[in-house]
Amino acid sequence: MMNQPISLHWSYAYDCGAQAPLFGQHIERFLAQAHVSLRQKSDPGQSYSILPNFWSGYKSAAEIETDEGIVIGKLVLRRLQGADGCWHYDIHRSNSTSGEAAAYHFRTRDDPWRSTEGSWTIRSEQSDSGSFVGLEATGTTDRDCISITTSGKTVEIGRLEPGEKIVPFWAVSDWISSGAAEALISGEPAKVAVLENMSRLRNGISFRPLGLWRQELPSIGSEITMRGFMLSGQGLPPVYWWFAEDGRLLVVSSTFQTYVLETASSTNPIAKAGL
Amino acid sequence: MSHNVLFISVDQLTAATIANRNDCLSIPNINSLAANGICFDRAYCSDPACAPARSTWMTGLFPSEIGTVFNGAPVFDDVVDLGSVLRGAGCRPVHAGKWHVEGRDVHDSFDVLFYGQRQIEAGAGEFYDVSTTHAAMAFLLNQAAESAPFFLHASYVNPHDICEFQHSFEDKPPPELTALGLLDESWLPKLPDNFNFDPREIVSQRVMRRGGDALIHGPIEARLQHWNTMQWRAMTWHYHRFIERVDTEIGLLLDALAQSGLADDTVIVFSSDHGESNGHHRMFQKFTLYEESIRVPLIIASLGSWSFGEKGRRNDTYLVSGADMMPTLCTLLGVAVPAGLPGRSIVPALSQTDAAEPETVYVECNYWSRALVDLRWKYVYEYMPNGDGSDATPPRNATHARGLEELYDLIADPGETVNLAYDRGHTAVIERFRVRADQVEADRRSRPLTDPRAVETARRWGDALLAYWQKHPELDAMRSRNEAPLLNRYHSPSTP
Repeated sequence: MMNQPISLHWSYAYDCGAQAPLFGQHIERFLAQAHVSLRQKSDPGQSYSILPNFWSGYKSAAEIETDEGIVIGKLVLRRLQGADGCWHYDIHRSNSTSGEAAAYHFRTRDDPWRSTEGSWTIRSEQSDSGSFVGLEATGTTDRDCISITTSGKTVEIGRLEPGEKIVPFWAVSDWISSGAAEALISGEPAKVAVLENMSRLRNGISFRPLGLWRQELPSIGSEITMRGFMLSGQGLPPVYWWFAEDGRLLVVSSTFQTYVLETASSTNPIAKAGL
Repeated sequence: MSHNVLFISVDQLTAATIANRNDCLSIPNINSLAANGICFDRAYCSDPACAPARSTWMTGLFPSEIGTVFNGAPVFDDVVDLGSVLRGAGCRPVHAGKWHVEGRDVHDSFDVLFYGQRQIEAGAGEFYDVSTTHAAMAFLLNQAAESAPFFLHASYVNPHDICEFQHSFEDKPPPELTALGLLDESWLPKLPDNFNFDPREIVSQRVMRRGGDALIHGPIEARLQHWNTMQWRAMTWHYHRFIERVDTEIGLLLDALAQSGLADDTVIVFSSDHGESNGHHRMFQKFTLYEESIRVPLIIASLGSWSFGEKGRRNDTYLVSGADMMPTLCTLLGVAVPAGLPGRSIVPALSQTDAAEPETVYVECNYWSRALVDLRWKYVYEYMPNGDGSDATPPRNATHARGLEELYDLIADPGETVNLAYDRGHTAVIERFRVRADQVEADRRSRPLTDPRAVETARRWGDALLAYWQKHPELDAMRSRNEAPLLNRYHSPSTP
């Protein structure tokens, strides 16, 4: 594998020090493949590889020399607009380091904020040396109170503050694309709570633009222009979201993991809805 | 006494963060725990590093007694651990999350709910902690009330993720998030009052933790000395977010306990393996004997009935050691405390305001340095390597010469900004602590390291210390303390 340095935006530049030495080459290759697929492929959903931002605690340095070695999981995002007008989300995420495979099914209203509608389900399966096999739960909102029910018991996971809108974490990308983000940035006094893993409520989230970044893709002699945003707040260290010019989500980078698009739908469901 | 015990541990949470009101941090669930029990404000880890501190929790012995004198050094095979003791007494030991007791397989003595695909060591609380909560919740919600007493250890990684985040900046400066418009300055915590430090530190601290050549995390040490104020403050802002993150997990777990029907018969113990410097003394991380690094939160609480008097009290006079954890857990579970442990149960201090209070608490650090703390003073000392095979046995006064010393008046100078060890007016205090150190060390059963990698690390660190001493002959004058060579060259207590 070539080992020439790749210039990465600081928000996902995990390619030195204690981090994966070849992170730059890996993310560039994934982005190059995604860049091609944006033009050529047609898939019903979007699939992301999860790269570790640090090798510590994950794998030995030798194990991360290959694509197979560095990828620690996969995220599949599917959402379609149903006959009820709501957006139906079907999220699957696996993490080979923690051993968790989680699935989230939820609906959102057809509004710019992608507010949750009705109940949702969480199903996680655990595969490690422990005896815990997984969790099944149902989430609900009752006015400002958010709860999940598992093993027949209901646990409150948080409360919305007055006027606060609730947005599932994996609907944030659509929320950003819808124009709600611009409204928030321009000073609309809306408050947002993000529902992470559909079971952790993060109140008082702030949202800031990162501007444009032209990511060079030397493996295909091209580059890709991306628009970035930072999401952060109480209980939520910064998460950086990067979009292609047509609104497709390309990269999500949190403290410990970076999701990078593998394949992309040529039919953006957001665009199809005319939002 | 026979309760279930839910031991909630976090990683790298300094006591000061929760002891003081902080408008830049929201931790309602940890605060709720404090309101439902007793908070011990003077609790100290046995050693400010993950594996040594956790090994003390799980064995009741100090690092110098069990082989885990730093991260990477395994516990001796013949040391009995908490899981074995509890199981032998008919109690069910259960574990979920980070373990990091080197050389000891948690599966050997605990029922393991969740462990990750690899042993969880440093970082990645971002996703490990979610599974830890789910596993512990499922256990509590499906536990029959009449089953045998259990000890459930929900062992979280965060806020340790701050360490890996800092490592992002070993070869580049952190982004200036305020200048970029990504954070508002008003959100950032202020620099701590003790951002600066008295440079008359012990040699071990200088060699291990200061400058780009520091043996522990030198690359990031080199970088952060060039950070501007906003970069330091932004790093603390990040630390707070990781704390809030684990606070959310704790909240879910507590809600599950409340719904489980077990709350009345379950005592909750909450603590951290060690602290975090968090910008104090121009440092991040731990591996140092300043309060931010060695002082940890300790709360004992119940969401249900409670036989230990009024809830919501704080005890700021009872000195607790990490070595007290195992005797305390055994006592709460109604299990006999193994003989010969250096610590003691703090259960009597839960209900008695006149419980006999320990005179001092003892802390080991980076193999070569130690601290003794009482209610007013902190005495820091170190040993000089012999440069031979004797260095493979944890040093003490009987085998090694003492090096430099530090003395802080924790009442007049809680930020530890003025080292009084070279002030003639405090000679008697120093002498008292030297005697006390001899007494404490006489009670320790220090054992030679046997693991070849651990022996090599001790030797390598010892060589670096000897090289520093040889390069700085002026330190001999400080060591002799027959004069006060550096007093007033820095700052006096009146002008910190």
